[in-house]
Amino acid sequence: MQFLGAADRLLKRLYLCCGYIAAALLVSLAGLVILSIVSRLVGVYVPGVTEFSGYAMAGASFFALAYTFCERGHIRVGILLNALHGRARWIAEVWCLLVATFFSGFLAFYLVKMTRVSWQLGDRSEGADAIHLWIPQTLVGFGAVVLAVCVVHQLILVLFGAEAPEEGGARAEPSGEP
Amino acid sequence: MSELYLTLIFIAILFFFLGTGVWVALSLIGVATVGMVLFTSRPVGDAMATTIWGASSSWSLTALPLFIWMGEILFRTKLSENLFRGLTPWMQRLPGGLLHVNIAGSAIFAAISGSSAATVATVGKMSIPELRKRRYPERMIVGTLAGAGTLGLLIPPSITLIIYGVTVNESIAKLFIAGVLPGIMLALMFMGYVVLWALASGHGRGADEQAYSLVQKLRAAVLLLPIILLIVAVMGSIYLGLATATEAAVLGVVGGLIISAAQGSLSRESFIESLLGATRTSAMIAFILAGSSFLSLTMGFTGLPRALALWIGELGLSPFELVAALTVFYIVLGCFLDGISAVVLTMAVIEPLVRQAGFDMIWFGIYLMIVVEMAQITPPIGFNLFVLQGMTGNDMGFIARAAAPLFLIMILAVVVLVFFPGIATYLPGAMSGAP
Repeated sequence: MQFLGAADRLLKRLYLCCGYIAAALLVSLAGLVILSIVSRLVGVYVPGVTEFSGYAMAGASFFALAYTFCERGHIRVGILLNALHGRARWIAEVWCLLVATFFSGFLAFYLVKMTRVSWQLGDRSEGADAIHLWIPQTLVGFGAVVLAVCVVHQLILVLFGAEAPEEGGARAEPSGEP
Repeated sequence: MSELYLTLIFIAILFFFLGTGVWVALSLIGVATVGMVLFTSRPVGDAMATTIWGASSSWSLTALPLFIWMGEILFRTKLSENLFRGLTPWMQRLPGGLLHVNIAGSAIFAAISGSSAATVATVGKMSIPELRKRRYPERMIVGTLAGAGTLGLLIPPSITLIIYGVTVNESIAKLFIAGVLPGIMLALMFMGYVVLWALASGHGRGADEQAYSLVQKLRAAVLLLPIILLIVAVMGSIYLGLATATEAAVLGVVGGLIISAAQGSLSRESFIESLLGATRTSAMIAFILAGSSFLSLTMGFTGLPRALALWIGELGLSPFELVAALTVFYIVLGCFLDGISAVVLTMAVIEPLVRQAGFDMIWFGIYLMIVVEMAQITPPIGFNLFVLQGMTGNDMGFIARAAAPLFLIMILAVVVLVFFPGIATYLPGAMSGAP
């Protein structure tokens, strides 16, 4: 049991770390856009800023997936869930998590596979940056794997009754359009 | 015939996933996967991975997290107080008095934030207690806030409008500019309603009205100046073609940080909080968009959008009848889905239909924002209703009834937009070389 508790804490720290990395990628996205504005103003051409911005965007999105999941930031339709209580609610929650486990695992598997294929073939970006595609794809693949782990983690917690199923739909984020 | 069955199964699975509460993004991925298996013999997983990678790393999406971040930064400033204090001297002589602060405040906040829930929360934080103190009827306080809060979706920068633009491949800059006049029009219509209500009921004024001199009025306006300047800079740079939507968003982030610092609201904590909030919200949205890009791919294989477009084409509806049918469809859908999911999900299916019917895609985007806005104030799922329930303690039914007149005004706004499409299309057409 103690081992499980430690694993639980460690994983939660992992999600949080990924969230911070995602935030850092978001700041670097802003930095890249500022770089492109400034370089245009002074008339210098910096190749690949557009592509790098896209990679930062993708990296920020995927790294934050697990963290957002833990913070209950992903939206879902709550009508049925809110109407259920007790045992029925538990079953519905397990069903949702099973579906989520399957498809987040499916997603993670193929994103990792795509990254591996890019690496093996030495695919390069078609844009001005011409970097190896596996480098940014690794960010996306890794984020997807952490999400899958996080979903399974949540499933185990709910299955063993360690955690009450989450309440309601998404919580109201100030700026999100939940 | 078997095609038809497959299609029915496909749609049933979609609603089953969504209805049982599976997270929207994963529902989309799941349904798209099932669809690929049913309708094609392609390698499903590889197609999914490349589509999702392509959609997630596209440049056009980068405006999204930056505008969200700008809103998060300004949400954590003294904006709510400044909006109330700055607008009060100007609004209180109008019939309906400070109720207009709810509407004008929402319109201004909508121009820095793309979210209607945030708009309601920011404006309401200050105005609900102040208006209650002055004994305005609760029904009007809540109704105007719920209705005007929806301006967040229409007045740029709008998160939902960015999502629409990315989904149908239209210029986000043009869509933003197109939203300006309809947004102002809708705000004025809301204010017109308050004036009419005040004149008809004779209630229109607050309990402790005080007279303001011109100097006081101008001093109040100074409170609003930084925000107005920021809005003008962000929108102006897009309109004049000086900046892309993404660049304007960064301008907004930097401007937001400066305003926040000048007010003394910027601290390490507030900075990190705003950043993490933006990270979560944009991850949530980007995940849905990733799922929807895969779903669009699958939809192409199912032939469903084409069949639908063909079927509607054969019905020979006039554009007006088609808009009426779509409006009803969206209002019903909006009772169950949030705005983003409704836009993403439907555009995967009806985009060919809309294009075939000859609608201007910019115009349709603005139309779509107004109908999706209506969904924000219809029970049982209306996020403005949830936010107001939390803020005022009134029950959902009361808030929905209070917002009902504003719902009708939005329908009126749709009708106006149908007869005078230029309200949406004039400005983007006049823009100097959209980047």
